[in-house]
Amino acid sequence: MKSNAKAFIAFSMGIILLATAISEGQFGDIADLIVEITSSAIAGIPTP
Amino acid sequence: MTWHKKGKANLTKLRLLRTFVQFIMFLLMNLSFFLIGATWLVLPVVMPKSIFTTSEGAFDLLQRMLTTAIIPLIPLASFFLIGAVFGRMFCSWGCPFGLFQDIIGFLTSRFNKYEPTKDTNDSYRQIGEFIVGGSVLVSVVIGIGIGLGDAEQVKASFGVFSEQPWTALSPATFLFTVIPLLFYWGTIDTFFSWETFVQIDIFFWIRFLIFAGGLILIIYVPRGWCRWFCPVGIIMGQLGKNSMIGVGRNISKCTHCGICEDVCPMGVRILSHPPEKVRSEHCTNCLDCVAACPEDAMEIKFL
Repeated sequence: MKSNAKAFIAFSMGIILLATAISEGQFGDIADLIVEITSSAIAGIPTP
Repeated sequence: MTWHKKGKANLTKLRLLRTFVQFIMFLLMNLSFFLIGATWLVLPVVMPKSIFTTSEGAFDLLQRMLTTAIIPLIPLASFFLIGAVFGRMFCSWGCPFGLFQDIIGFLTSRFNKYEPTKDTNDSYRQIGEFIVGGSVLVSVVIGIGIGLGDAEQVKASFGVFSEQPWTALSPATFLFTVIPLLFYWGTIDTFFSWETFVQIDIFFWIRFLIFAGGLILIIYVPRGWCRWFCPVGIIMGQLGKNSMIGVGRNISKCTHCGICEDVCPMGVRILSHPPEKVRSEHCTNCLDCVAACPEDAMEIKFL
């Protein structure tokens, strides 16, 4: 398969994933996830 | 390497421009500096959540969504859309950890650098593939466990890895989250008092050792972390091989002088690739080869 075709397939998949994410309201769902620092990220840091 | 004056000047200009763009991207991802709240700017770069970050790197968010039992459509869309068009361009033009590697590389430019062979590049890259596969697998297992059973029990079983398995170990998290938080919380003082110093969690030292190892690596191997271990780079490299934007070589102008290969920070053997486009999972479209070519044989190609 030509690489141009592969690039277009990957781009189309991206569009489909984005459209699905918008229709599922996923941007609202992740608002909290984006704001908070996870326990994994702060693991082991001495706390005040 | 016999340097051409024009090529050297072009390369310096391009690297300055790239550093400027990298700083702008870093600020865009840390808009809390300007009191702006969370954004949905999910880019295929290494950017763990920290004090000032208002968006998150796609792989960090992907793990977070999987371990919360949400199908990670947004980070996947980010990978596919950006990867299909730009390839790994964000690794060199937008990634904050890439900027850190460039700064360290510049500061240690007088050191003897190790230039790995293609085989070494490919074999060490398998470690990065293992990191991607392992992190996704663990995240999926946690997500399924949380979706089907007792969330608290599953989280307790996986401990510090329960929300973002790779982010917990990533040297980028140590740099962008751990170090700023030590200052923000004021707990940096802990390191100057023996009584509190000895109480520091062992996991902190594990993270520190990984960060120190990564630092030594990038001192001696230019962009060593990007080449071999970065999960985002591994994913974007696969998409980047067939991306719409890339670099190609005009064979009527090319004299095979090899300057393009010498300046490539990722060690891509450009002359061994087809002239119409460099199809390497390591190429980050940094455009150093385009700027440095004395014959203007290297070109930006679209489709």
